[in-house]
Amino acid sequence: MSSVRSRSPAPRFLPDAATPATTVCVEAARRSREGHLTVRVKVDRDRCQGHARCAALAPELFKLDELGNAEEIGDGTVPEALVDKAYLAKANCPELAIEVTET
Amino acid sequence: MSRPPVDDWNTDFDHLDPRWIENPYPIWDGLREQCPIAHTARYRGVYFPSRYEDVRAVAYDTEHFSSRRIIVRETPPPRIPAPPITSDPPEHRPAKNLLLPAFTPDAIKRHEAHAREICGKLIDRFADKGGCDIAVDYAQEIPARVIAHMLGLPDDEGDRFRQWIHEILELGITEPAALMKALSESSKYFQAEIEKRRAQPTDDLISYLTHATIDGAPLAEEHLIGSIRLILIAGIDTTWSAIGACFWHLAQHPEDRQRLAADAALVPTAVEEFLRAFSPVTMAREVIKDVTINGCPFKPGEMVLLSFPAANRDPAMFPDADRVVIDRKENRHAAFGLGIHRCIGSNLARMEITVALQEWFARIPEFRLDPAAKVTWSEGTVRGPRRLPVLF
Repeated sequence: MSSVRSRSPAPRFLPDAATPATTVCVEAARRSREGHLTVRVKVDRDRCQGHARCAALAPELFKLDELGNAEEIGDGTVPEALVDKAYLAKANCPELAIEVTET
Repeated sequence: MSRPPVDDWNTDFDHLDPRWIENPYPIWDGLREQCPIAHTARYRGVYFPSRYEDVRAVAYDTEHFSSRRIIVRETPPPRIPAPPITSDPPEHRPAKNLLLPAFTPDAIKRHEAHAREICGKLIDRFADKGGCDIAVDYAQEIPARVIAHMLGLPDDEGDRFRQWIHEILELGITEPAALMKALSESSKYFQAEIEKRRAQPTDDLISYLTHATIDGAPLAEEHLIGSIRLILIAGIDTTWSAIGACFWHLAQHPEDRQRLAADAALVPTAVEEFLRAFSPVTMAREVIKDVTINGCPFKPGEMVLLSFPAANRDPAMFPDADRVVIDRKENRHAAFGLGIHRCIGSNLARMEITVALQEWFARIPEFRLDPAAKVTWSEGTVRGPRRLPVLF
């Protein structure tokens, strides 16, 4: 038996991507507009490797430090008009370093 | 060089097989279905994970998988340090942090005007000729000139640099003599450049590294030369391949071509999709401790081909993974790697690819493959067109 085929079915790796960000963010933006929630972004600095996708896609919400690693601007509060962009940034982070919370 | 042909990709794959070089995607799709972590006894034992999740798991696991060897070769050469790409923790972080400030998006922005000028001058040479070889006349020249300028090297020595790249990354897989020749020639060349800057510092990356310190100590000679060689090689071959692959697709897809020609603002989004669909770079790792991933045991001493290109075609991760969707909104592709070894030049590459497309489209909106000529592809670690004749 020379094959090293995986013996168990592989656990599916679908990092939040199972729910399309576009669907989620339209809904979140609607609720945000109605004043029901505050949306915040946060970069996990241990996970971030400086791909810089968030700062390219949502420069109003993310900035880069002198090494090119990302952090949220201010306390990460997302204005209603930028909720789409927050989810877009999250959906494009290869390291899964961005958290978007709704409270 | 003669290796027996491959009968069974699951148990005997060979990444230098002509079919793999020509069009690896159907092979990888088959592996992902049948044998998601394939193995070959060739090259002294190599594993090939083809699913995104497994590639990610290996990339994140620096305890069991070392970067001290990052190229699969028939005969392992003596160690060739090229920090930080060949570094493991804890040496990796300081070596990488030294380089990062020169490669942030803001730092790269300062080279954009120069890159546009380079593209414009290259296009001047063939714009009225009715055709050109995009790989040779355009794609290979852009990154070579930009990175030479950043390092402080002459911008007309691309042929010399590409010869070293060919010997180190292609010939050197099976011919140790070619590898050793290129290493010794390039070391001597860099040594002379370093000496000049010791005498008289200049405003470039070689000078910066020559005078840099980690924990108060200057870089060891081997580290210094290795880092310079890394920046030069990784700065040229990869982006040359990426630019060529974009044009290879566009030459065959009029609808995508017309959209990009009409809308320069869509180019950055399309670049991400080209990077996903035609990721040029496959890295490697050496297994250093027994470990099992997804049911597959990895044996120390053997290598892993870390195929970000295969991961980026995994349908479990990307809907319509085999289709090029130039306005794809969600694109967590791993073209620049995952984890601590994220490509240091990713912002530079993105800028160069974007500029190369925009400047081309501003002058040559319509073009197609030359039906009388053949497209050829590189082999080994970095995949991209090496001949790409087009008509316009």
